[in-house]
Amino acid sequence: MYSLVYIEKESLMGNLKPKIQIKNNLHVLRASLKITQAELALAIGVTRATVNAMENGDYNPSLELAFRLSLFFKKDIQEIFTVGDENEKI
Amino acid sequence: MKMKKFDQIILRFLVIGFPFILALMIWAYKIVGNNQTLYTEHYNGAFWNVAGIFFIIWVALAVLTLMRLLLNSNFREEVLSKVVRVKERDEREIEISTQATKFSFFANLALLVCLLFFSTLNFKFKKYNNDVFDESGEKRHGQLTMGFGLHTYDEKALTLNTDLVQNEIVYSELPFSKTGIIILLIVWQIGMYHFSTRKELRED
Repeated sequence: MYSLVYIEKESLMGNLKPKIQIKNNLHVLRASLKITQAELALAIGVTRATVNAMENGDYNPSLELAFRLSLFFKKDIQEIFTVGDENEKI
Repeated sequence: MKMKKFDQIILRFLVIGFPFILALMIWAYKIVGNNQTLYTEHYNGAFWNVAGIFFIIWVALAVLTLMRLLLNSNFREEVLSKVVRVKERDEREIEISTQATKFSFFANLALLVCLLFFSTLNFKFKKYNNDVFDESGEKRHGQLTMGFGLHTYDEKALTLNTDLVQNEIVYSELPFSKTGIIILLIVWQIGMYHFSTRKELRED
């Protein structure tokens, strides 16, 4: 019984590891609107550095920020963010 | 987090008043020297009275603010985030700050454990210049003594002064030893961490 619980916990911890890479086309969408990173940052309430980090794939936004981006670009979240190849090295 | 106007005034008073307190200390030191009490016979006048009242108010407010820092988590976060210049302008910076806090927590804990070890360790190495023989007749070159000592309070600070005047309350420095303070900090850090995480988990 104890070992079963242990395995369950271990697998739960394993699920927390980031295995998928989330890609985005923020750069393309922003360019289509002809706005700067600073302007986008101001519109969605973050710093310019965060917009830059998201565009470079260094930072995955929270669900709340993803929805804010979705509302700003008037697109579904899945049109902005896509799941990359699972085997691709992050 | 926006700080209350009253808190801002008190903190400004403490910060701006600190150079005056420092100047007052230097002035008192120049008059009576080190480790002595400044009495009215040394200096008297309006400045003495005003400076004395200012000093009492500053110390009282400093004690009050420090107690609030210790007990009020919101106030602590407001003040200390400004002191250590924590940048949390958006969610990414909050995440970075969280990671930095975790990093700092473990680094502090490691340092404290290390300091605790060295504060309790006693080490002595003695090299014999002349020939020294033990009971079995074997030649000894030196002596190595190692051990651990645990003193959580400062014996000097706890020693009662028999010359004390009746009804006199004396406070001078913390009565804990270095080891005692390190143990206190370790227990405090781990305790506060579990207090915070369990509180959050219970709310879930």
